[in-house]
Amino acid sequence: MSGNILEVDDLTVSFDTYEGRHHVLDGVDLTVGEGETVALVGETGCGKSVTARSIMGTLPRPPGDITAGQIRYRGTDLLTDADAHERVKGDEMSMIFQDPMTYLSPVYPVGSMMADVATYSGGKSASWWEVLKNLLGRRDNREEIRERSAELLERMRIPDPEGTLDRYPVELSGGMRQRVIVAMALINDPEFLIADEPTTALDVTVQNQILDLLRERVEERNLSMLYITHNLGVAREIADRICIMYAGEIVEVGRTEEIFDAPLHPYTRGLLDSIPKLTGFDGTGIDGQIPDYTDPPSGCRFHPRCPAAMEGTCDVEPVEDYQIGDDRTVACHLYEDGMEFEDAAAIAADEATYSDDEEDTVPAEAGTGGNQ
Amino acid sequence: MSADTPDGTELDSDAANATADGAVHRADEPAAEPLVSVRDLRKYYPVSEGVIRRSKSHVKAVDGVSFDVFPGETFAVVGESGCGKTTLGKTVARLYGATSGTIAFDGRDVTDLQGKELRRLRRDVQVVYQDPSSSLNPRRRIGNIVKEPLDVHGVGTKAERRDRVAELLRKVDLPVEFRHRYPSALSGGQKQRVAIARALAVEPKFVVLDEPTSALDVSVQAKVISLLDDLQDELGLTYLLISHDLSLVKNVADRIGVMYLGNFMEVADSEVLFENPLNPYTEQLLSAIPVVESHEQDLKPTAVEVQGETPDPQNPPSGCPFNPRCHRRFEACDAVEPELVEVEPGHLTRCLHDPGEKREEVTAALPDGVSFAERRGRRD
Repeated sequence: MSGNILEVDDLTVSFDTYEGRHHVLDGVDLTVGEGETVALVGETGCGKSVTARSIMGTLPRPPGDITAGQIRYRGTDLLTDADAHERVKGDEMSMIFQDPMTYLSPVYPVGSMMADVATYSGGKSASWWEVLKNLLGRRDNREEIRERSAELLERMRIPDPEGTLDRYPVELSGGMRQRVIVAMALINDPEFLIADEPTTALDVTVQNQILDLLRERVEERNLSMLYITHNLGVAREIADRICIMYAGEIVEVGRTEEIFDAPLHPYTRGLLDSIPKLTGFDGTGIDGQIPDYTDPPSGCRFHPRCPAAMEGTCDVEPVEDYQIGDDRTVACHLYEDGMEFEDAAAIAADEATYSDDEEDTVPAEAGTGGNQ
Repeated sequence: MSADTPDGTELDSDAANATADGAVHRADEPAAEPLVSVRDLRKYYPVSEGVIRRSKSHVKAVDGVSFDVFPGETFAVVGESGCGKTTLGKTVARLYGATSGTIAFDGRDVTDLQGKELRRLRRDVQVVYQDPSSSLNPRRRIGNIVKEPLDVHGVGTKAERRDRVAELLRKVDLPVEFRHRYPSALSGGQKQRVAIARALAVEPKFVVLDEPTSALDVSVQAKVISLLDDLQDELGLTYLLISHDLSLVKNVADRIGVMYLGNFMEVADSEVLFENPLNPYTEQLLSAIPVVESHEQDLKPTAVEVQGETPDPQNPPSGCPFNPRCHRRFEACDAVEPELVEVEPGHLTRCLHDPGEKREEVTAALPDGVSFAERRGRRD
């Protein structure tokens, strides 16, 4: 346990479709410490949301199928103990979603939805009498819940919180809706929060406001958070640690500053290079596209797009997580387990670079293949 | 360019024209006439209410915008969602009719062109849309999608068109075999390349790029951007780039217009805008960019607390449209509407504060004490 609130171990998830079996997650390892914010960063279709849904227990099964792995929450494996999963999901975890309009009902006012979350979450069943009473707005502790909701909305810096409780989502702007979603996720004082791209649909100025709110709340309540995003800039703002994900595998994990200062995995390096920056933009990008999950590449899943791929190694041997220095793991054959960070950084600078001239890198690869 | 030119002009003569144009007008040529010149453009959408859908008020999506785009340059329009940037792009491309104002293309007023003449204009002005999955017909093969503009405009013979499609696909770095595929078999980046090839089929001079990469992942986005860049150099294209991504715009655009509630708040050369933003809205936007490098942080203006959200465009605030969110707001701001004024050559801002004041303040803080005019000179 060692201070980790969540440990995901070797999580493997497949989906059955008419096209065949999609091997989406391939041994995902992930830990979130007590009071820590971890960002899970990856591009579209890399399995970020599948990971989140597996943790939340909302993965549709079928077609989803968790074939291996453990998800331990404070030491309890949630995958083998369905009761515990129900309980943890209701009492201690909460999730913030990307698109508020999909997750807020257009036909209920904000206050009523918040009251429902406050009343039913964590409960296993409710009698028809209770449900009817609540529907008619006669729930026992309605004053208290209303007060709590209004207070929370105020914390979210929503102007006129009392009035907002009686409004419908369509009457609110995008940023306000997202604040309501955040408030709803926080109403039952969760200890662990999963935020699935909560600011992607928002403008930069509003995005900053939401990030500030989340950060404030995390510090105040010592919340642990798994923040899922495709935007490395956002991850840098909010996270203590960053996990880079590619095609269902976590390829690199490290402290935020270190990942940005010295990315090791070729994919991380390519991703960082591809982002247009205020300082410049080389526009190299990464060739190719995310693989077909029905028939993922053998060995390292990134090797077909990797500029440093070594023939005979990368396309054959499956990669393991190599520990580099103190708190960096990277899943790449360029490195060796237990390597000093400086040595690894030197290799990264030599090998894992993207240039427009692909022919250039090919002979160099063959050389390193022999060395290893 | 005669408006009466029949639509069946031959491909070759047109190609010669385009390259000649590209060779003559390149970016940074001061004497060049603007290719596109927009004056006091307005586009209002009616808001209908009640049972008989009577139009009661208007949303002023574009409200009195003026700007020039010079041949060979990339003019970018940035702004938050709902500021009217897409409407501006589509109105300039004549996809929407303007409520008032004029659009001149190559020195000719095209605001009210109709029928055949409008169709002729479409050969010079093309659009690439944001989401390739919805801008490409899923039931047509790539080859046909790219060929369609050639068919519509009756360019060349059947065989010539087929060759042209192959040439276009090669130009956007797609294998020619893709012509037999359907859009669903392509990835997002490949689809956007098809959309670009389609836009280039009729050899336009001016391309409106409406968020061309925001539906794509960063690793793919980089490739598409450099493709667009190469094509601009190769074909001498002029771009109107619409985007919300400031970091991207900084690297791609020559000049930038920052838009807010239907109008420009600031227009400047790309470098100047980032080094010396004069408008408080630009400052807020710049300080909100999430960056990935620590030395990028130094390039942003000092963190400004960003307040509130874009107001309802149906009933915009009085005075300066930005005043409720502004960190430099003072009493006059909600009463007087500021004008877009040129404070230094090529740098326009809309703010009641004397921008000169701030400029001196910033100039004094510069390490080497160069004036902005000198900086601009040095850059060229």
